[in-house]
Amino acid sequence: MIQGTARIPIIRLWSLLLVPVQGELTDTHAEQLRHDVLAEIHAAGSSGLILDVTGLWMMDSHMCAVLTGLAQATALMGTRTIVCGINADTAITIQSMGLELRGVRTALTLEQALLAFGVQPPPDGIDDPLDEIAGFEHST
Amino acid sequence: MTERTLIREALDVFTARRRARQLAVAVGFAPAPSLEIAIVVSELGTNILKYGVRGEIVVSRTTPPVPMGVEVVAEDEGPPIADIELAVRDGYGDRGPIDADQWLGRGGIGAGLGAVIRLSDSFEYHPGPGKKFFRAIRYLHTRRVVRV
Repeated sequence: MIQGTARIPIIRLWSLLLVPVQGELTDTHAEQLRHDVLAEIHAAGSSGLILDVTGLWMMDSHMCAVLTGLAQATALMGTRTIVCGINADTAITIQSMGLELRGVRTALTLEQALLAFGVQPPPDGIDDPLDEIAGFEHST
Repeated sequence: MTERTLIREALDVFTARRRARQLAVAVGFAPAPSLEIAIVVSELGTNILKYGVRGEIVVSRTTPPVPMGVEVVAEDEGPPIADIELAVRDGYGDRGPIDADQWLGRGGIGAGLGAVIRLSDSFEYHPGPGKKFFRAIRYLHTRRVVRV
């Protein structure tokens, strides 16, 4: 059973931050997440934030408010936020609820969010990227 | 088929909405409407936490002559809502507009009851005395009748 106790990881990706929002967020967790993300942006000088909500099974008005609030707070620090991973059911529900993620940019997938921040996909034709690293030996 | 959940803290809301979705699926709802029923429970449960006193959520399969569906009753012993007409408007509490700067403090944007109404086929509010409750019904087949 998922409890509202999981700590959400904040992942550095070059100059970006990736936050896979997941589990069930209480107000305390939402506040903790906001604090941690803003502190990390300040410490790392991140140019962009990606909130991946693939791991959320539902988004109610509370969750929409948490995401919108976080995006607005990062905007004050000059950092853009993209929310990605909203599935079809959730998108329809957000719309039927009359909610909107005001001022929040969205992307369909994590890949598209990364592209929007200028991250380039790896070149085709590399079977195993590790082969390209000199001196790397596979352990089997 | 009835699921009763006392609402004392946020985790209880999580429990209630998970149970609601399971019950909706068991009644025969597709994934999308089951999700919407879970959201109705989530919004009403969050309202109990924020404004209510000693509340509970009861989710059940409707019984004839009510058409087949899922009924959500959210009951608590807090004071009645001062202005229900205002409270169901997005961005409003029951005493007027909600300041956007307080969004995070409130943990919401004042869209809760409006969302409940949009996601339900039938919605009723019964103020006191002593207890107040909301009843929202989602029908499996028939279309909506919304009453405030």
